[in-house]
Amino acid sequence: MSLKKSYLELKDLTKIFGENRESGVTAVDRMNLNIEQGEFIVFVGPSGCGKTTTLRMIAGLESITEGAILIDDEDVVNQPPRERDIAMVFQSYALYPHMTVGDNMEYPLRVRGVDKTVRRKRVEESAQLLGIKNLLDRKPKELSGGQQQRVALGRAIVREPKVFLFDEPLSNLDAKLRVQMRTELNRLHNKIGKTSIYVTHDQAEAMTLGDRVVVMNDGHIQQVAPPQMIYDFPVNRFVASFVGSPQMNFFEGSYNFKSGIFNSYMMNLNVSESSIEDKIEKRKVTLGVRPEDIDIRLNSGDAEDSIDATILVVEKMGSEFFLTLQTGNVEYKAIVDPESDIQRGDEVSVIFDPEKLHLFDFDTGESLMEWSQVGN
Amino acid sequence: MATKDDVSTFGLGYRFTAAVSRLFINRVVIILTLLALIGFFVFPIYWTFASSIKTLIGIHAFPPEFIPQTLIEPVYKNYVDLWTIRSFNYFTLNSLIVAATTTVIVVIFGTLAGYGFSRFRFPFDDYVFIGILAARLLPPIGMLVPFYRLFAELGLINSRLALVMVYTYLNLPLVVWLMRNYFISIPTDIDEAAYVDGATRFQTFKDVILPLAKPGVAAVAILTFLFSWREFLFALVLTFTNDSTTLPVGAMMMVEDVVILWNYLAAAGAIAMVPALFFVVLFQRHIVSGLTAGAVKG
Repeated sequence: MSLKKSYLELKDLTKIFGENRESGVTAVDRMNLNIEQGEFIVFVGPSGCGKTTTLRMIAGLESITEGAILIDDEDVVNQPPRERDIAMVFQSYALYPHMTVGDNMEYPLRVRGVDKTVRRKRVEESAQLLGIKNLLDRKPKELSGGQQQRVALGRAIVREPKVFLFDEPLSNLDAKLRVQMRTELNRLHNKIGKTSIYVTHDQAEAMTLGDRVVVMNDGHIQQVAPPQMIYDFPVNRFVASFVGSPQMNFFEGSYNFKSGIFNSYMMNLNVSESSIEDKIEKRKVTLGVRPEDIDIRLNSGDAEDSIDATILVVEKMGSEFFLTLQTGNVEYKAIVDPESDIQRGDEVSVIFDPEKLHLFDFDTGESLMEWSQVGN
Repeated sequence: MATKDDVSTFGLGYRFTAAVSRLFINRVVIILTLLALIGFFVFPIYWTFASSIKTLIGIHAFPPEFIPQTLIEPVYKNYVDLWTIRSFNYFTLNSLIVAATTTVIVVIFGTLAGYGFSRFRFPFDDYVFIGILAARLLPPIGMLVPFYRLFAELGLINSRLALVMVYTYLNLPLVVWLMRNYFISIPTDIDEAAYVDGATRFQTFKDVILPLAKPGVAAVAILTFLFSWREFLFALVLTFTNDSTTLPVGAMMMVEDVVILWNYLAAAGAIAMVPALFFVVLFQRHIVSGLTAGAVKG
């Protein structure tokens, strides 16, 4: 097996719906991405961010306006979908309603002229792998959503394509089944090990499935990194707010780079440790802190850097409590352990974990943390 | 607790509607209403058939013979006469050939064009589509003379080919439109799944989309066949002899200068009804689902 740097490469990929950049809608703008063989990449972002358009361009279902798509060093832009040797699982599953499960799975092999006995064998193997061997003679409409999902997966894996594409495959399933299929997809990928691109708007799917996560917004890549990196070191405010639930709290204020003090009317915080040097001494910033990095003390003490707050709402989630806190007229969220004896209306003192604070430029939203200058 | 008496607390309007709905919920009323409706629609068919086995005197009898009594001897004589001395063997054959040929042509081109309009964009496609439909908006009688002149120039007057051409022209726009709507009701995800699976566009159409559109194809085939089978105006003007005259025109020949041969006319009507009844009984389900596709999300 040859060692290749990248297996699937997007070069300045651009998609404009409409006549030109001025009058049309730019769905994807000069996107560059290198994907290694066997990697599981997840595109995540809000609806309309261009993730599905990108996937459809890779599949060949959408023409591209500019740029190139290379699969295995071959430019596939001018190839129709059937020549690209990719498989795709659709959000709607798109099973052929008039064919049985077995015929559905066999179809990609049949149109490629694969020998009948080989076809049967491959369908059997794939069905075995997905646990749908007993359903082969049924029609899609006789199956449950989860079973249809498996058939759609089966139709994709039966052919052993170069790349798998998944377009929000789990979003039509109920919550419980979704978690179950997520685990199963993970297991399936570990077993097959094919290069995969997975589009979702669900950050939980992105975090659990991806070797690397591509966070997109407005047709641009925001950050490409392994899931934990995305969570720990977001490069801008958008990524920080998109990953994590409940989302990161943001506070407006100013930051003095000489003293390392973040200052707003509700607090003065020392954020010196990981901030970067800057020529401007004092500038307007946004401070970000995740709810899980906030601790509270019931007896308002004299701890350093603590903030006084009132508890507005207590949401008991079982394994943890979600608190909505108020300081001045600013509301923010915290996640705390459930054993704490916490009541609505309590006056508490709040401590932000100083190691886990984020600073973003107030205007651009770019991270001002040291690692943001290095990693990306 | 809710009891029967609670109704009295509602207004008069409520009690009135309740009384009316009770009346209609009564089985006997429902059955009688339905029987009346069935009679209304079935009686003309029955009367045509009953008249076709009577003598002329029996048909003119007063009071009318609701149960045929003055039967012709033998009872199928009207049919045999039509077939042997009134050239209906030719007319029926002509009608069958014209209707079947038209149907095959219209279904093939209408389905392909409908698929094209439902899936592909090309310059001015909306205008082309409206243009095709517009051809159907002209009252056919306005085209009668131009068509006659045209076919005269082409030497196609009094030929089955002329009728096939006219009927194709008259039916194709509607069929393109109906098939386009039917294909639009099939999600494009399915086309795309087939493309990615490795199918060409034509394979996608043949293996995946067309089988899903079967009810639509059945519906437009039946509509086209029945239209061509019973069309009268163009057939009357464009055909003269046994070589090309169709059933409706043949039936019209029973209206003679001084007498209307009701018995033959009824028998001709009964013959003409056969394919319609056959299709409706066999494919009724398809016609309904084919014509309403896209109306509601299925």
